[in-house]
Amino acid sequence: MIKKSKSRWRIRLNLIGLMLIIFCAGLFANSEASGKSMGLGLDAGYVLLSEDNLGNSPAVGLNFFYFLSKQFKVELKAAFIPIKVDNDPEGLSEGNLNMIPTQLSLQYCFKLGQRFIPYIGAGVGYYLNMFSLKNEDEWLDLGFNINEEVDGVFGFHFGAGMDYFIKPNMAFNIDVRYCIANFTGSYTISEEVSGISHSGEIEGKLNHILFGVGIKFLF
Amino acid sequence: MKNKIKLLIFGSALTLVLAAFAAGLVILFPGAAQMEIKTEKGIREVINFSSMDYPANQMEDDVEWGNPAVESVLNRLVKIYNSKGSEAAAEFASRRDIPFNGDQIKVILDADVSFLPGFPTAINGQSTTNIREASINRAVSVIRTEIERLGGQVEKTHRYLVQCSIGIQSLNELARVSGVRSIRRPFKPVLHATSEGVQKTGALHYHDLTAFKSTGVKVMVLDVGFKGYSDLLGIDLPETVTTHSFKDDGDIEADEVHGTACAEVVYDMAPDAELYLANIYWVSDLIDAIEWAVEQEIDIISYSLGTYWGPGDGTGLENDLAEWAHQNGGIVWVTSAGNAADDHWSGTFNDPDEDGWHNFSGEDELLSFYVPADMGIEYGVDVYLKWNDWGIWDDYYGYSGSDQDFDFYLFKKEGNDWQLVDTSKNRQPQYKWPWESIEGWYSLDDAQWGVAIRKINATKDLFFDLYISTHSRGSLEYNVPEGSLTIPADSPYVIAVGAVDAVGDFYHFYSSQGPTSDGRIKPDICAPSAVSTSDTSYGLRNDTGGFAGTSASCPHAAGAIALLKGKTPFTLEEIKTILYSRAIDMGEPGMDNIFGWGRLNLRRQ
Repeated sequence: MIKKSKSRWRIRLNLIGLMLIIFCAGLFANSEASGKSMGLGLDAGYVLLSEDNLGNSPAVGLNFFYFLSKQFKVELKAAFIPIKVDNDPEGLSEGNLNMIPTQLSLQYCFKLGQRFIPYIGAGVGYYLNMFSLKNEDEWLDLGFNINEEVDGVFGFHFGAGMDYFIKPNMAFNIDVRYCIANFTGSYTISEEVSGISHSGEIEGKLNHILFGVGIKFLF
Repeated sequence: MKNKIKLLIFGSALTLVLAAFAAGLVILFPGAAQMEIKTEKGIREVINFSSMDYPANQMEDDVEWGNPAVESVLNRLVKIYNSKGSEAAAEFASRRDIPFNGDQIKVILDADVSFLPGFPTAINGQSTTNIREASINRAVSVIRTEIERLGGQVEKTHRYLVQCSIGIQSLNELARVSGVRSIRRPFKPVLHATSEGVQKTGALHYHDLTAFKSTGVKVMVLDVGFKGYSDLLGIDLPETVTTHSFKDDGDIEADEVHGTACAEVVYDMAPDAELYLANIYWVSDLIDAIEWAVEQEIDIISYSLGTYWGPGDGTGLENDLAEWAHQNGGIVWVTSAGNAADDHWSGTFNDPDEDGWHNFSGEDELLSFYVPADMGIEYGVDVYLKWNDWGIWDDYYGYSGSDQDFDFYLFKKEGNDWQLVDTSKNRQPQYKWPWESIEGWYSLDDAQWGVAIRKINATKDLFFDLYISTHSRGSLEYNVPEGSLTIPADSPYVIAVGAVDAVGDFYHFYSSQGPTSDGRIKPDICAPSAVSTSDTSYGLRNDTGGFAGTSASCPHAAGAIALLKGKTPFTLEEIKTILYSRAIDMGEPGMDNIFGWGRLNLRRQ
């Protein structure tokens, strides 16, 4: 219960920080990219994870971006990545990890023409993790109560991408970014007849490369 | 009416006369009294030795005594070698299980530190471990030099024990070496499809579960042989196993399927466990085997073997090794409780007629048993006797020994007469162990056999344990199942496993019972027996009866521990507690000396 409260507070702090950044950025806004200063995007992608026991996964995302100037824009992106987990005795057990990264990036856009705008960027993010153990019910039937949790963690990322404007207010987007995050968590297993309980900490890496293609709408 | 009364009077008078006549016979001729009494087990004979001529201080083959510090059977071997030659000696050695190749003999020496200059004459408990270890090492070093001087070879040492091979002609001279307390034969341990126990215990429900926070488990099956194991790899055994033989000839199979069956049961219970198969020949081979187990980081040992040699109070070589393995490797040692419940007698020496022979009951001085000849099978007949006078145990010096001398006799009934077959006449206190044994006889036909105990020079009335090792089918007279555990089932550092039927869940009559001789409850748990194995080992339960005995129960328990160790992060000690708490209570409520905590169970109750 305590961990869930902490997660909520982290999200709230994240949002407050984002609002502050946008407010400050708005003071310097001078976008001339297309006469538009902000927009929304949708994307779908594929995630390659660095750890052997974490399966590569599809991802879907939603992003909001705001041009601070002609070259700089800030992007807030949220994604949903369902990851199949194989058993790692020292890391995560076999099950499913749903990761929801919320990333704030600062991107520099290269003006190479009216339609084609590549960019590079970097930023920070918060990775909300929800883990469900496989066979939890079977263990319970045998008299073993198992609980395994993964904490939300902060991480950072860097990457590059390209917007291709098919219309003044619509662009195709390709984005690739390398995300770095470590996770921590804990587990408990207790046997109901003897009452013996065993608990421990877990940790691991959530480093991944996220490839995404999407579409952006500017307004 | 009158006729009836007359008949009654006549009948009563006749009965009285006959009774008086019989009583008179008994009074006038007490020595060779042989009476038949009817018991719930049938007609029993009462044998009394008072007037029988068995000279106490002479061997029946009329040879003189050798060095009394040498086990009597080895003295006999030396005498036979000297009088009748190598071939006769080899034949005798073969029958009595003495490792003798016609010239060299393998023996175990017990080292004594009291001859060392400046050594305290008594173990006062104030010596430090370092002093004790240094003292025994010095003593062993002296003995080693003497063995080599006599042309022998030291094979292994462990604290006070020295195993060596030496020419038979040098044996008596070796016994006179300062520092040698006694010389004896090395002991051999005795032996105790998918198994039905997998379903019975609930192990099956765990097999498809992914391990939770476990880094795996290693199980060593320690036995006498693994015949045919390679044919079972990937079928009834894992794809790969690690093997190591501690026998002199390095033969892992050793023409014995007992270990193969044990390994199969462990695999049935815990398919994900890494299996290590190791075999021994002599009990002393355990020293190297346990050291290797610690080196290999074995978690669990499954040991379906045992001996009768030792006081049964949790002391001795095997207990030492189990304690060392536990403390240095965290190893859990699981052993079979023994199959001796119906082949065991125990009691205090009782000689009301003061003829020197123990009376098992009333005037009966012979403990008899029946050995059948089944379809041409010749059953071995081995008998063992020990008494509770082992002295003080020290894990560096061994037992201080006994000064109470008893002898042991084996008889066989030929026709209507009991014939003396063999004797065991170790000379305590020079031969310090309170132990007599007679082995190497075979029952070639249906026959009654019997054993007797004779006091030679003893001042105490001691408590005896007597075991017969043969196919007696529960026929042992005055059977006492209590206290029939084999060694090392008595050790507080091993889990002793008794036997219950794999299907019917009832007690198997042979399963050795506690308590230990120091009063602790054993076995710890019981597990399925009479289970199916592959045709390579014992076959299917419905065909051949399957793999039975506490030998079969032990790997079920070892496998259950391995299963939980391989699936969960619980420690071995926690797993033991879990299994004891989940055991299905049988017999008297709570832990008892037949079922321990109960029948092995992995399901939630």
